[in-house]
Amino acid sequence: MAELELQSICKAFQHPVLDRLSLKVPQGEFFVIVGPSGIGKTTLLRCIAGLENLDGGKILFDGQDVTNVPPYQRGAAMTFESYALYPHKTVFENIASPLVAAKTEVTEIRRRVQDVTKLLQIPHLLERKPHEISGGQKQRTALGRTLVAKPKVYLLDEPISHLDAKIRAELRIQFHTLKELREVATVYVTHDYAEALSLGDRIGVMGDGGLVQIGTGREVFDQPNSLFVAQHLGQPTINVLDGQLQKDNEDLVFKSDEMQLPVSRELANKLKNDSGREVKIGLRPQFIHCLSEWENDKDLPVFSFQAEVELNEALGSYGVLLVKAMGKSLTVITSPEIHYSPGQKVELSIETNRSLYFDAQNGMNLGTDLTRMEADG
Amino acid sequence: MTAVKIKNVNKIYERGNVHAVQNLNLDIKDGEFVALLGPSGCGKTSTLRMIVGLETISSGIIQFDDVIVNDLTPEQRNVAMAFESYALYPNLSIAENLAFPLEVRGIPLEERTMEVNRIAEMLQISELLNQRPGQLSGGQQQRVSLGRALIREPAVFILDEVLSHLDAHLKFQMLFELKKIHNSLGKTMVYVTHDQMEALALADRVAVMANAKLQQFANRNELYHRPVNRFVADFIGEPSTNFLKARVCTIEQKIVLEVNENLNFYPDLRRQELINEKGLEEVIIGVRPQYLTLQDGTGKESLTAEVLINEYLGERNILEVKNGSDRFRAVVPPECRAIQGDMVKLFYEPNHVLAFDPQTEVCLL
Amino acid sequence: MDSATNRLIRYLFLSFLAIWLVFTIFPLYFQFITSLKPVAEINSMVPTFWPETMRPENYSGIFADPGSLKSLIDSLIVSIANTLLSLFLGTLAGYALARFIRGFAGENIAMWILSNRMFPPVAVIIPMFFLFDATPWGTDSYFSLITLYLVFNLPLATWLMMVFFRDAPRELEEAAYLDGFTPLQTFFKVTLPLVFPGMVSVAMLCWIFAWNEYLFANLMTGTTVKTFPVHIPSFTSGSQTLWNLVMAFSMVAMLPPVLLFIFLRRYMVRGLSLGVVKG
Repeated sequence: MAELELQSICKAFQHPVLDRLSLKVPQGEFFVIVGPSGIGKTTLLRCIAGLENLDGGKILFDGQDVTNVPPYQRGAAMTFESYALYPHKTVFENIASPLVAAKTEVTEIRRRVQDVTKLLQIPHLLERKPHEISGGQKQRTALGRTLVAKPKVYLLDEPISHLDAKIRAELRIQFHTLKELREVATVYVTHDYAEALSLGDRIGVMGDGGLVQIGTGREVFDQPNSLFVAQHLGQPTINVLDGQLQKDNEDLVFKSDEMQLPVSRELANKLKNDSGREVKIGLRPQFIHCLSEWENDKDLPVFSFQAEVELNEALGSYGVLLVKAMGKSLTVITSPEIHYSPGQKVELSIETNRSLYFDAQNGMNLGTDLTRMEADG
Repeated sequence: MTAVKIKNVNKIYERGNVHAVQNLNLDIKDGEFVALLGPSGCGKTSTLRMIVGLETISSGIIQFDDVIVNDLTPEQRNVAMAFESYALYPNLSIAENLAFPLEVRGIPLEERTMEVNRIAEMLQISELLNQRPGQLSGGQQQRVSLGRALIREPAVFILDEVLSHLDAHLKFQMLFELKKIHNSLGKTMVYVTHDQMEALALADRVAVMANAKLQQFANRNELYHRPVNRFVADFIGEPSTNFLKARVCTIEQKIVLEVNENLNFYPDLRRQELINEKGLEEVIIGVRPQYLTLQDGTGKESLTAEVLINEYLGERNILEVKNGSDRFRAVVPPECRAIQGDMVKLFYEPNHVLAFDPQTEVCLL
Repeated sequence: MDSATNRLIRYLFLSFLAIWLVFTIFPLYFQFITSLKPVAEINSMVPTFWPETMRPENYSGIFADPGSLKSLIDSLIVSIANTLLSLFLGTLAGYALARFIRGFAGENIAMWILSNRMFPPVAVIIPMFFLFDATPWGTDSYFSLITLYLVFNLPLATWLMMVFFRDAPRELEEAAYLDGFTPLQTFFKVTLPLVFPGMVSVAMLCWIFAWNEYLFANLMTGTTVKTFPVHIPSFTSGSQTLWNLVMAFSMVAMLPPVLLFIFLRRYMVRGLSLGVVKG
């Protein structure tokens, strides 16, 4: 049994970093916290580990209050963003360290370290020192040190963000397949939304002071509860336009200069008395299509218009198009195989049912409590 | 406006006897944006330092237009460089930082101020001119560092990993800005990076280096569809290419690549011919995960596989699948809800099946 | 810059280094040859740069006086004891300053401790004499010299150790806490090994001060305890200084620090650059 519970914890340095944050991570859950750098994700982990004292609130492991238990008795294992391997010790000694601290028998230590290194595919490195191994191997060693301890809670701080894309992908798979991590509660911190979506059973998006939204990957990505969440998840970043809700005959529309988008029926029902309200609209780049390369075969409701190409870049598996239309700049995802030159005119279509509406003042999603259309329509 | 020619250039470090760059030939056109791409230790940094003039050339020549620059200092070559670490002077204001290269050359104050304002406007940092580097965000500092390099009106402009430690959102934004700057200036630019995404996004042509040698110098489409060898196919693209060992079989006079008894790949006619010509009995197949799709289409072949992991990434999913003991990946739309143990049918176009000679790892083209 | 200018600058630089080398080595050389000369040759008006008559007996001669050996042993006792004490106390104090006292207060306390090292020792020499005279051990004792040298070595040791501890990444200690080590275990197993090269450097500095100190030793001690710098002036015959014996004794007295340095050098050079966290 291992369950982590935070009861309205507070922590401030010069200004409040964690403001009455509550969270429950049940046994076996892989919980990912994602947020911009410097928002306090690491502070949260350090509080759970006991490396920082709380200004208020309680931390419970398995229902037991550990708020005042020092880190070396708390039973949490943590990997550091910098790996924090002991430079004067070998890989073996580094991994064995928690077992040595627990005064485990030598033969038992050897057996468990070997098991862990086999699992992480680093048994050939045992005699090396940290400065003799690569970044990916250091990360695996650091992970080994946490896994070997059989702790009550795993805390992983940006474990793979400093590695190359390829090793990152490899280690993501490793995190998916490590059963050990699914036996207790795990809290994983990252600034990379794709990593979060990939790994998290649930995801907490962190903003100023605490978690802005908690939900599964699909929930936070498809139904962000606020503009902040929508802007933090997704690349290229979601297009945001300022405008106004207006009545067009009987229908509600979003109007911004010459652009006029129909509001989906569900949302229009909810907001029928809000004509004239200032809103922001969020359009994900992959839901704006170049008509020349997209077939609307499912007959989705769209808004089409003409735009002028500013810039086109072909990345590996997709292209990005920056366009100007109706006085606005928009980012659009295209096929990388087709090149558009600056100044060229293109026909674009926006999938109107995919647009997200936010309050212009507080940035809250106006449609979150609606059952949104399933993604696969 | 300068073209850079690198002819048979070698770099040997006597200490440790390291042959860091071997017989490098690069022809960079006037106004071209070229990226030097490769893993660490591939020789790209040595190459860059030789172009700038920070490192002596062991043999071979480097030309700027028709002038051999081997023995010229960086100043005489008129190269400007922006660094990964920004390298701004913390005790000077942004305006002073920008003006510094001009001040060194004894350009009068009035002209300096004019130039600083022009560059600041172009990079949208006009309102920051009176601040100090410490007060700026990473992205702003990087812009200032670019500006300081630009203000000298250099013949060649060199960017060393300038985006690598910006966070993802900012990096994306800066990619577009850099591209815009290049479009408006039309200067010859050399961009050094280990990140294939940056290289493909920015450069007209990418020079892929590995083990001190140039592997391929080509544009994005060439690198993507016609990689010269396994290294390039592996290094370019994310997620990286699937490689599978296969036996060459002939069924009804058509060449079929058998990975295991349940998994065959059907290459296009051209590759069938090439495999035939070479008389290969085994090949390594390379298929990009992006070209294994859930969507059928005319002329497409198919295969089935068991889902191991369906990795949801927001805009797309990566399916980790297996067939027998062979594992590979496919990129599918985020709507895909397949779970572990599900069987999926994946489709591919025969012309997207790359084949490599198993001995030399050279791509059959 | 063309290569001819480059070469010229290089040669100029090398000749400067050569001159500097001669300048620093010559006194040592002269000490060495003087230790092998007879007194008559030393006193001759034209100095010789190699002994015309070799007198290696100078070396056995110095130990004819039993005080010579005793003074070296006294010096060893005082230096070793003082070094160990300085290191022990300095390490603990440095750790406390680096880790537990933060910000402005920490800086000030550390600066204030170091400032003890900044006033001229002569200013306190008389008060010190009376101070130690009032202790049960008196002025002429091992205790007085060992504790007196602490006054000078401890601030330096504390300050330097504080700097080394600050450079040692705190995250490694935190990782050790999470591994389950208590703070005390962590200090010995993780932190100390990290600052070990620094400790070696500090030990060298303390040793050298205690080994060579003359002023206080001369004033406070001389009968029960007599360190070697105090013993050197005793090599006289009538009104004449026996320079050959003085130099031979100095050569012998140089041995311990030189040997120590050779032995410890590899620990010092390795420094703190273990590539500690990232890489």
